[in-house]
Amino acid sequence: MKKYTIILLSSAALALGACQKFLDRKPLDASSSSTFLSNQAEMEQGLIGVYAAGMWSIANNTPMHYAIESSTDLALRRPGNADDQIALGDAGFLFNNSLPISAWNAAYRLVQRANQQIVGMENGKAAVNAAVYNRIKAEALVLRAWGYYHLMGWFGDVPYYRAMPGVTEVLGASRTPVATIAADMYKDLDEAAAAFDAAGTPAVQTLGRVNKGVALGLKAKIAMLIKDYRTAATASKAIIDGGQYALNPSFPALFNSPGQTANAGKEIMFIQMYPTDVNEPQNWMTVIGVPRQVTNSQSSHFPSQQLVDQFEDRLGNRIDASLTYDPANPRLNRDRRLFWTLYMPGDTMVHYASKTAILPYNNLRERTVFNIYSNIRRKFNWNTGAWDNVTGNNDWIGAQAAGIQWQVSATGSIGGVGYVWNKYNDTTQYTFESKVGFILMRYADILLTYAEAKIELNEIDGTVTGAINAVRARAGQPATLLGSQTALRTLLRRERAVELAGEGHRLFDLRRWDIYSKANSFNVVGAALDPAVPPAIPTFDADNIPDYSASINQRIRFRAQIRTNTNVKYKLWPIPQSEIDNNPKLTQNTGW
Amino acid sequence: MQNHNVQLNAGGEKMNLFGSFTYLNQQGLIQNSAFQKYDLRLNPEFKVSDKLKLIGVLAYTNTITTNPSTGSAEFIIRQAIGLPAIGGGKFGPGMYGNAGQSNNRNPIAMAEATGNSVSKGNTLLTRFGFNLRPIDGLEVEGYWGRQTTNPTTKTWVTNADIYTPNLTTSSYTLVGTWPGTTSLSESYTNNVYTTYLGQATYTKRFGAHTVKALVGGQSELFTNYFFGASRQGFVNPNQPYLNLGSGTRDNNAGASELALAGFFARINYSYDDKYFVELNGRRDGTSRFSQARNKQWGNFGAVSAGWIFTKENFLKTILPYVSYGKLRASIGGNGNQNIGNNYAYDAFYSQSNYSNPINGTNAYFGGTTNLGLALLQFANPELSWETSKQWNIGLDVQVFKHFTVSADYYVKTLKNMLLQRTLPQSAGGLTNPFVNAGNMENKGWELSVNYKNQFGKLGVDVTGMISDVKNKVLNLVEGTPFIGDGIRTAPGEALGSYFGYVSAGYFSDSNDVKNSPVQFGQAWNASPTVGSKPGDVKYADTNGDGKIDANDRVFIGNSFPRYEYSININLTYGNWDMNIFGQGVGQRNNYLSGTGAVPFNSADFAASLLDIHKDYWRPDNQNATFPRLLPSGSGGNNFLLASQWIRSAAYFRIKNISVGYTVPKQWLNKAKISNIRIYVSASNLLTLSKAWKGFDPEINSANAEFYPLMRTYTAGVNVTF
Repeated sequence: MKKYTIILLSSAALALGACQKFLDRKPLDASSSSTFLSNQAEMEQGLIGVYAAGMWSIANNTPMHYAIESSTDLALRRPGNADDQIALGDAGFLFNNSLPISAWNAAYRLVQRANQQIVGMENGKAAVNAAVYNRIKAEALVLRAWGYYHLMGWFGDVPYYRAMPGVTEVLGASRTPVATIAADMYKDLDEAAAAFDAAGTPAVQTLGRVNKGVALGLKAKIAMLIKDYRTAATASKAIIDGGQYALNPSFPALFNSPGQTANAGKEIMFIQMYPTDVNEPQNWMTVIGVPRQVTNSQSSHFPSQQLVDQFEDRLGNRIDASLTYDPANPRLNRDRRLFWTLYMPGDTMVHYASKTAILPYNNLRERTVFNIYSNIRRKFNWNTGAWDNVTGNNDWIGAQAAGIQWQVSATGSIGGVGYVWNKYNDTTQYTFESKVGFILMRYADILLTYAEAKIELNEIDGTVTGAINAVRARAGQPATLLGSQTALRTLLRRERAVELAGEGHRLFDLRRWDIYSKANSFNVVGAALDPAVPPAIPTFDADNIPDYSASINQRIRFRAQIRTNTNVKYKLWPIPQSEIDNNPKLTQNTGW
Repeated sequence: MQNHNVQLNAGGEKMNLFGSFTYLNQQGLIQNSAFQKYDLRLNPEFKVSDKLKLIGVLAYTNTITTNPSTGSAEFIIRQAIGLPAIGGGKFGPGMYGNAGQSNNRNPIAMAEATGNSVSKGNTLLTRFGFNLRPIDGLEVEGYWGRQTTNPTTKTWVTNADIYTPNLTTSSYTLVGTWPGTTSLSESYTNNVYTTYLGQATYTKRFGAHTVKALVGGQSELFTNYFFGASRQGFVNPNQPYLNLGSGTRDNNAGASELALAGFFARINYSYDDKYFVELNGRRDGTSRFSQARNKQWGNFGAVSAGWIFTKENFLKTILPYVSYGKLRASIGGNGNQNIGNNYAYDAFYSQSNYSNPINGTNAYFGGTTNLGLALLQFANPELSWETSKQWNIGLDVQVFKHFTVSADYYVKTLKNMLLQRTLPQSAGGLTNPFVNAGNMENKGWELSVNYKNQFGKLGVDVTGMISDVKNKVLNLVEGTPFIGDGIRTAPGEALGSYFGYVSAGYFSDSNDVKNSPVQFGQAWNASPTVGSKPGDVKYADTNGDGKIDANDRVFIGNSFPRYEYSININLTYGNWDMNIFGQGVGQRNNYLSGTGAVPFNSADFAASLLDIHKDYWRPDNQNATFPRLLPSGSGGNNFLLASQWIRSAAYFRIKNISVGYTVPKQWLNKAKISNIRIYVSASNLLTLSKAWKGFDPEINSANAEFYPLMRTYTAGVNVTF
């Protein structure tokens, strides 16, 4: 009897005495922020986490910058999608559009991850070599500045945090002026640049990571955003004078995997990488650009007529001033970047559209002559070496009239306006599992940034034309000579369009040049409706904006779309409503 | 469906054993959907002496749950309902049609041809305890218990072949496979719950006074561990073994713990079995809150009193028709720490795969994926107990011999209620933190009436119940409301109320659009695709600023049920018995979106229009239920969260009717059977509600993605030996 009593008393006593310890439970499979980031290995792991938040995609697999490009005058998106609705302006851009929301969320995720790292790594400052510590911190500083650069460009003044906020702080944050944030970013990027120098970080340490060149390049871009041309010129000049970077002799090599891996000239300074060692995520830029006459799949992103007409002829003249431009054969005698950037009717396209060969037309690679004018596909027969005419063409613009139904019901767009993307059409790997990287910063952009800053400062000298001509020369375009500020400005703006189309720079360019409203308000038209009736050549204004009113009836229309972005509110995106709902101190942008 | 149950009770002087065995087998509505359960229970009791009993519990449960692997039954059923008439279903064995959905997805193939997910649950409960009565009036009890559950899940995804009709050749063309990637994933989980309990009760009666005192303590520890592995790329759909996969491999694991400790004491006092008083106190600790900040412990207490007034002689003459009556009152508090998250008080670094780019922590450099870490959860170190204070008065009476009435009124106030705070995304998109948000009040009452009588062979037993509770948030610490997806929590409103626009009918014609406040910054525009058109929802300018924007949103209801009632009727006549059970809700709002609101709604590609959607706006149908008909995805502003889409979910439902017959004893004696009852029953026979046809008013699912309510007919026999 006694035995049982003793057992009870002793176990009860144990429970009482051990209570504090019993309730002290820490997660078993994770590390606490109070102790983590205490040594170099942990800091490097935390830094990877910051980089991870720098992978900005829409619907997982479309690079965000590429989607945003479709809201500008250079590109089109299949109707009904967020980027298409932004492009439509008055006819579609509602305050609850999902793209600004995704962009806001992605940028702040990056900012706060960087804040976690920058503040958290102080836990282990004493344990890590100072140069290494500063280099790790520098990478986080650059990534945070990358986040704020985009937030400022998209939304203007935004809530500003240099450390992870507490609940109360984040619910009561107000908007900090762009000038204040930009001034801080200058300092952060200078600190980062010095730290990379001290740590001996190479010019391109590893593709996908940031370094001194990116720090300076980003500083130049932030300076351009606030039109601080002096700082932009100085920062971009420092990159040029550093001599670490050069242009890749091959423009197309920038946009396929082997070319990116080789990175000749180290032109690619910062790139969004896609993992080759796991299946997802993939870069869907090629998939969504392949025309349906190749794969039957749903091409959804298209280049615009506005973009096509920015490309000069081979003598360096805009098409309205060209002696060699032929409206009946607009793809001929043009800046080579036209073909490298997009396919026009008559171009021979190459796609890697099947994982296994399906002969006779697919030998992994598939060659097709882009055709929108008849119900045939012109395919290269690998068995016979001849070109065959194959009946049935989903891109045929007469399909709707002929009662072939799915083309309008599924996408409604009949292959854009007669053009499809070739840039980033990486034919070295299977299109549907493409891992080609998306370039976020490259040297050509730095050269053009330098030139633009100097032109705006009206300090036009040989270094300005030198920078522009280096970019032009790679494409085989003739050099430009010193000219007036106005003439060079027009040329520079055209150069940025044709060099960087599809790479996500256009929105910021148009806003900086104060021509977003004008450039992005038009009837969406495209290639000739009938190849036998060449449309009239458009006229251009001083900002290279084409006017198609004389040829509108000769051209393909894009579902009768009319873009109307004349309202000044489109200079900035609306702050996501849920942010304002959660924090009444946050004000909305004017007009939204 | 099958359900079998066997029970056994064997007793002796020293030992007592209770045993039961249950088997349940239930087939779901669609293929690859089933539930199976075995349950075995043994309760032995040893009488060591007059003063000491040893008590054991041994229970084992085995469950097997099967579901389609590529989508929930709810999703598949909804997709099947929404399949457009032109979408191909199934052309023949193994030949599924291109149903017009995303990437050749086909709901029939999902249900029957793309593999299944089988979860097996093994639960073993062991408990060992004693009951000791060392001296008269003192009872000491204690036990140690452990419940181990080991669920395993095996999810097997195979490909189905998708075809389209080829009109030229009058055959079918293979267009692809769905889902395209075969995979197998297996997981193993080990959950262990260990508890110790010890308590002592002393009861003493002297004269008309009875005193009962109890002290005790309990500790509980929950531990969880799991690991899982998966591979892709299987060739043979009949060989679901990981070693055969040739594609991507993955594996993961995790572990967590939760510890709770509590001490409690209670004193009951009663006088003459007429007056009752109880005092109650407890101190509870939880590992869920910060030990460093001393947030783990909470103290709670309660007082209650009761008075059986029918024992008072002076009332017996005043209330002769009241045969029993008791008045009750209580006031007291309780604590709550149950927030699901075991470590909300601190921020922890975790790893997350690419597959979720929103929270991924991996990055690819130098030809390899580098595993990174990040804080994915917003921490709140100040988190502590939510406390509730409740007062209650109640009355139980039996009147006119056959009526029993019970009534209660209570007010429950929650202080520092635990809520997950939605933060702006500028906080970094981390999992939202739990906070001690503020105070909330629930005021409610309950009434139940029972009538029981026997009229010769006819026995009648009817119970009706009705209750109501009104919820109101009193204040919020941070001041700003809690904002969820279309719902909002703010002082003065019910928790999670709908917050949206007020619909003021439809625009009747273009002049109506021109003369109404500008909707969302878009004035009348002649272009057919721009701005509001006749037949679009006209929103009310609730703040009177002449334009409709986000500032015109107001609280437009909540989904709390009001006036819940039920009725239970039992009738017996000789050997026959009958039961009818019905229940309902008097008032409730359901918000509808998705299929419930939008014609042709589908997350991806083709979908059909439900019958209800035919009542859309036309110039000659101005009072339509739905706005003008537009192609899917181009509804403009018509489907914003607005009063238009708040529908009544009040209902009354006959849940169950059963009729039974008990075989007369004299027929059974020879077979040594003591009782046989044969019965038939039907469930969900009738529902009265205003919900759309096919929508279940009991389920608050806006997009009609729920398991359809089944009308079930059952026949059974109970045999007692």
